[in-house]
Amino acid sequence: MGLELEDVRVTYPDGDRRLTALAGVTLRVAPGELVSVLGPSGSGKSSLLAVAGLLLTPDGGRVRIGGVEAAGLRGGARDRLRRERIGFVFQQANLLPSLTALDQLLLSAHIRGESVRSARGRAERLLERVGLAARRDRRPHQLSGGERQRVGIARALLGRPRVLLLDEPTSALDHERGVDVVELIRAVTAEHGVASLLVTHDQAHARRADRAVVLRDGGLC
Amino acid sequence: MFIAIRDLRFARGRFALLGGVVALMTLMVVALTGLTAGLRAAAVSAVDRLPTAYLALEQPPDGAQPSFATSTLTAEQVAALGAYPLGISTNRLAAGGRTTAVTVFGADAALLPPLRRGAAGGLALPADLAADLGLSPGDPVELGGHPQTVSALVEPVSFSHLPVVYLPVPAWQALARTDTVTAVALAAPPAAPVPGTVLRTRAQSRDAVGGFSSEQGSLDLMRGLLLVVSALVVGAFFTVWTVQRTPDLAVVRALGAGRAYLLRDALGQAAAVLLAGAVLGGAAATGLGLLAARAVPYVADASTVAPPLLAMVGVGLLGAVVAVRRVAAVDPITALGSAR
Ligand SMILES: Nc1ncnc2c1ncn2[C@@H]1O[C@H](COP(=O)(O)OP(=O)(O)O)[C@@H](O)[C@H]1O
Ligand SMILES: [Mg+2]
Repeated sequence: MGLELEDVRVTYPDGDRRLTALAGVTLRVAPGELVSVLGPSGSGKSSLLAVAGLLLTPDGGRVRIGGVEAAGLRGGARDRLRRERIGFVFQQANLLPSLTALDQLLLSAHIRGESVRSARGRAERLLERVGLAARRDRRPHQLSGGERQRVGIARALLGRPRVLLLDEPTSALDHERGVDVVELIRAVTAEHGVASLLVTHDQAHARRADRAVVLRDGGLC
Repeated sequence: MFIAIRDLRFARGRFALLGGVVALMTLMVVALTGLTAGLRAAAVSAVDRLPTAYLALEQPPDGAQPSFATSTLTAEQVAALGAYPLGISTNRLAAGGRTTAVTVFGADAALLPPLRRGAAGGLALPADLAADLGLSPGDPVELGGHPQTVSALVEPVSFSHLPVVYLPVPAWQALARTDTVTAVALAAPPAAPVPGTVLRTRAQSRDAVGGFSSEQGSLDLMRGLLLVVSALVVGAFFTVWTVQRTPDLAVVRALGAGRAYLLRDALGQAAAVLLAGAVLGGAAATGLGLLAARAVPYVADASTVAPPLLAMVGVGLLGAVVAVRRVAAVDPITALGSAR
C-alpha cells in the first residue's frame, strides 16, 4: 500500500542513443510516511516524480499506487487513477491565476466529478488547516509564495489521495518559510495517512522527513 | 465550465473586447442580410408573388441570358404557350400634381396580388403607393400620359426597385403601343417546347430582372467575407489565449483532468463569448434596421436576423475549435520540473 516503485527505469532519447534518467529505482513509501528525495540537478528527481505520478510511463519496472498496479494502464484509466489517488504539489505552486484560493481547491473537486457544493465544507476546513482561512477569496497574485504553496498543499489533499507528490515546493521560498512548509507537509502526511514523496535539494529540509533518500545519476544511494 | 467562467470574470477586459468585435461583426452581417432581403424584395417581389410556377421568356440570341427588359413574345407564341400573357414596362404615374415612376404589369386578374379594395379589371395600384398619393378606387390618374381610373388597391409588390401597378393586358398593350407581350406565366411546362422561347421556374426568372443577380451576388460576397474574417479573428484570439495559458492547462491535466474536460471548458468559454457578442450585435442591428426600414429597402424579421446570427456563432466556434484543439495536446508532465 502507499506508494511502491520497483526497479523503475526511465530513459530519454538523446541523439541516436538513449540517456538513462532512472536506472532501476526501488522505493516504498508507507501511508502516513514522509520520504524526502535529495539529489543534484539532473539526477532524475523530476523523472521519479513523473513516474510515481503516472505522468510518465517507465521503460521498465512497476508502479503501484495504493495497491493498484499502474503499469498496464493507458490514457483515460491513468488519468482516472491519478485523479483519484494522487495529489501533486508543484514547484511554483502552479495555481490558476483567475481562481481564488478556495476555487483552486474546488476545481480539483470539479475535475474529479465531485459536486462543488458538497466539497466546499471540506475545502474550507483544509484551508483553515493550512492557516489560510482568512485568505480564501484571494487570487494567487494577492498571496505570498509561502501562502501559495499552502494553497497547493490543501488542493492536493482535497481529493483524499493515497499518494502525495511534492516537486521542490520550497525552492521559491526563503529558508524559514521553507521550514514552515515542510513541517506542514509532515503534519498533514501523518494526519491524512498519505504516502508523501518530497523532492528537495535542501538538506535541512530533507532531514525533517521520516526518511531521506539520495538520488545520484539515476540511482538511489 | 468551472475555469471558463472564472477566466471570463478575471480577464473580462480582454473578453469584452472580443465580444465587442463579435458584436460589431454580427451587426454588420445582420444589417447586410436585412438590406439584401430588402433589395431582393424591391427587385423581384412582384415575380415572387406570381401564383404560377413557371415563366416563359423570349429566347435571346446565342447563349445570352433571357431578360425581362428585352424579351418580347408574339401573339402566336402566347397562343402556343397557352396561359397568362404578361407585359412589363416602366412608366410615369401622375396624380394630384405628383409624379412617380412605376413598373406597369399588363396582366390577367389571375396574376394580381391579393386585392385590398375595389375590383380587378382596371388599373390596380399598390396600397402603400395609393396611400402616399392619397388615391382611392374611382380616382383619376395619368399613366404614361394616358388618363386612367383607379379600380383597385392590391398588396404592394415591386419590380426592378419600382412599385408595380397592374393593367389588363389590352390596356397595357395600348399604353406600350405594341401587340406583343414580355413573358407568359404558366402553371405547368407547355406540352411541347415553343420555338423562340425559354422556360424558367419562378425562382430562376429572378435572374432575368436587370442587375438582380449581380446586386445580390455582391451583397452575398460581402456577407461571406465578413463571416470568414470573423472566423479568423475569433480563431486568432483563442490561439493566443490558449498558448498563453498552456502552463496552467498542464497543471489542470496533472490534477487529473482529461482532454475532454479541457476541450469542454475552452469551447464553452468561446461559445459564451460568441453568443453574448452575437446577441448584442443582432439586437443592435435589429433596432437600427427597424429605423432604416423607413428610408431604405430593409427587411427586419426573424428570417433576416436568426440565420446570420447563428452563422456568426457557427463560424466563430469553428475558428475557436481550430484554436483550442491544441489544449488536447498539452502534456501534463510540463507542470513538473523546472520553473516556468
Ligand atoms: N524530456 C526530456 N528529454 C530528454 N532528457 C531529459 C528529459 N527530461 C529530463 N531529461 C534528462 O534526464 C536526466 C534527469 O532529469 P530530471 O529527472 O529532470 O532530473 P532533476 O529533476 O533531478 O533535475 C537529466 O540528465 C535530464 O537532462
Ligand atoms: Mg527537476
